Amino acid sequence: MPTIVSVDDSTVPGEGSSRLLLLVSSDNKHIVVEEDIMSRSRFISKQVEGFEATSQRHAILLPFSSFVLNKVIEYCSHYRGYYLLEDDPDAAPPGRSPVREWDQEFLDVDRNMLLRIIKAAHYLEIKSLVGSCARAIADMIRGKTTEEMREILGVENDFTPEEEHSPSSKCTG
Amino acid sequence: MDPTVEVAERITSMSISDIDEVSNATEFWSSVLQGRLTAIHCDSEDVDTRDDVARMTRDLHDELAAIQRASRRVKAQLNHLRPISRLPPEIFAHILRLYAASERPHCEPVIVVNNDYDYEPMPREILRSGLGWLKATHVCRRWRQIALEHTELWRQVDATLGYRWAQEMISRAKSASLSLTVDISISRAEFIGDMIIANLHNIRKLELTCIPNLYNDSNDRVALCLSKGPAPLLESLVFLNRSHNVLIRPATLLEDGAPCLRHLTVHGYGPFAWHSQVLRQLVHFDISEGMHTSYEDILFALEEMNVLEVLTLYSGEVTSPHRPLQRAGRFASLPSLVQFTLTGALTFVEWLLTHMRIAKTVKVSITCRGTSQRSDFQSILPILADTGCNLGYPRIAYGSLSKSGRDRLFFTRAWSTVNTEQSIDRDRLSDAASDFHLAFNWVRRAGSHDQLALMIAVHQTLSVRKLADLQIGVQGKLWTPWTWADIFKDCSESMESIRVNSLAAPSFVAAIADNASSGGLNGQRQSGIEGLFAPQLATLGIKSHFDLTDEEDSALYTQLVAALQERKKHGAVLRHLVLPEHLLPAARLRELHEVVPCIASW
Repeated sequence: MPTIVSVDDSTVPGEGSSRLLLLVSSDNKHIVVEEDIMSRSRFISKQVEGFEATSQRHAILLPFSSFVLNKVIEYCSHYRGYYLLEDDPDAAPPGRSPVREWDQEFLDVDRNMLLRIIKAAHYLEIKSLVGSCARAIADMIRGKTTEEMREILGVENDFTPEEEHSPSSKCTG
Repeated sequence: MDPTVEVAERITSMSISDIDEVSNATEFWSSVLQGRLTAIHCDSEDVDTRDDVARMTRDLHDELAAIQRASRRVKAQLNHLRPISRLPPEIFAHILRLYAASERPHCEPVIVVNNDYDYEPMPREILRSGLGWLKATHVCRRWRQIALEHTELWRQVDATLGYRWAQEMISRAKSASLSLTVDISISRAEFIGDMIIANLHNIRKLELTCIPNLYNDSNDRVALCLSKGPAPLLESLVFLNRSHNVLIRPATLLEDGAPCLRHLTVHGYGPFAWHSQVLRQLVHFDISEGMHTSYEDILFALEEMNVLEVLTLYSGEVTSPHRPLQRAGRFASLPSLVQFTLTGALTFVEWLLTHMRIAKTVKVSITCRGTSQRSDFQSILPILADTGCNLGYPRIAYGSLSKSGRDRLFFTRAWSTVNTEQSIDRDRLSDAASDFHLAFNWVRRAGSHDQLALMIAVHQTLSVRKLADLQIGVQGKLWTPWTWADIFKDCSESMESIRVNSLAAPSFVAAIADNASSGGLNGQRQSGIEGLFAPQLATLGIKSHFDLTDEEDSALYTQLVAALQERKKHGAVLRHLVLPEHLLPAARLRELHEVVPCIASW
């Protein structure tokens, strides 16, 4: 669960046409962002609904760094006002589709950053971003051998020799 | 004191500060290892007898296995710290689902194809299989665990991988609905029927490929099991018959037992049950049969298909055995239709179109057999005037194109595969065949070189930029080695499959190794012409009279191996290589396997 702290009016810039949210990253950076931009995040939307019930202003503390948070905000800003099927809770889950062109460029980051973004997107409940990251990761391992997959994602072979050579392993394989 | 106990006691009696004193891991484990070797008497150089050697070898292997087990535990701890391992399991399962959708486990049927395009099975031991996404379950324990826990990953069952495999996957899918693929040519048919019956209640998609001339009983058994329904979840049923023979009569299939069936594909079976109630609920219907049915039966069936959106109808007859009855006032309207593909004799096409109401929005693609020029279509062109219709008559375009003297040039199927909606410019296609003849003859008469004539003819008549499947059979020594590569280099990006005969083989083998960075085999681009690297190329078939055991002809083999190595180096590994059977001596087959995973034979 996120920590929510009360803030005074001086912390959040004055309200304009769109309401502002204060997001606090794990490295204690304060980022002000328009509520509209972050409305793609179901997690943030739920938090905002909670604020309205208490009539208080809050900052939302998030468990990832400002670097990752800024990437997520960049994504949300790009798709501000766009309808994305994946983010529609009432729509049927989409089938496999290629990563959108802009997303491809956006996700052209190193492996660890990609994994951080997908974790953040999962936490913030932004399904479209989770989907794009997942497809990007799936694309990274497609057509690769087991050993290449280990190398790409930095995983060690931790099977015992017996596990590796058992008949059930071949069938799993 | 027993040295083992001594070492154990030494370790267990260590306090944290003692362990800290052992300043690094190497020192610590060296110390432990030395103690252990002493304990099992394996550190002595004093080995007298053969028995001693055998014992020590055995003991050391045991130690090694134990150390490996211990090291895997350390690696497991390392894995816990990796970013990929810290993703929530449901997210990682989602990644696996996407990966699985793009890389299915498969078993490649290695099939002997003789000149009559009949199929015969090869022994099971030479089937080629690929683990597909299951490779991911070999990466580490956590990946495997997550895969096993997510049942939907196992719902795509390919029985060609073997009966035990299929059963294992079905059991792992638990209650998830199944998508089952069965190829009777390489599956143990005697089990398949029982497996389908046992799981029919849970199958959402079923694809069956049969070879009737070999497995009559098995086919019937599998087909009949479907009449035993019900199949309450079945949404998609695909029947593919690879042979020209028609034995199964799917008239009784799922007559009332498949309430959810929306997609039906039946190729090569007949006569089809056009009266079936199942047809009324279909959204997607794709049928290819000999049309033993009367035209009226087809029309009556179409009249009832009110929700049909995609219709593909292929009639094998070139000419109509009987003139259909003309029934005034009867029309199939197909109100939901959005896409209609029709192939058949002109008489059949003409009759059907005059008895259908096709909305202007319907995408229509028609191929008439037995036609040779645009004027043959006069009777149907007015009907199609307002539809977005692709009209093709490719059959005549791959007939023989005569040259003077004894040389003859054949385009084998090259044009028929061009006839796709994506790749053809409608206006250019409309007169493609006749234009091709005209262009070729015109340029040849003007005294141009044959190669140039052909190139101009191709470029003037057909757009082949998106050609994916190219089959070339050349007879006569007309062409320089790079003729074909040069003609088809525009298709390099789209080409997925190339099948060539012996005369075209050397040039194509060299051409597919030549991309911009490699500059051709051994860096020597031939004739200054850039090749047909085709990065998407998955299949290369060579139907050749070469004998690779013969020294003279082995140049082709050497070139082939070098070409495939070159492609591998550039990350464009060929998946299938189809060679004549006599080209496959065992030693060379093994060598080829290092560069191409699946080798089939004609």
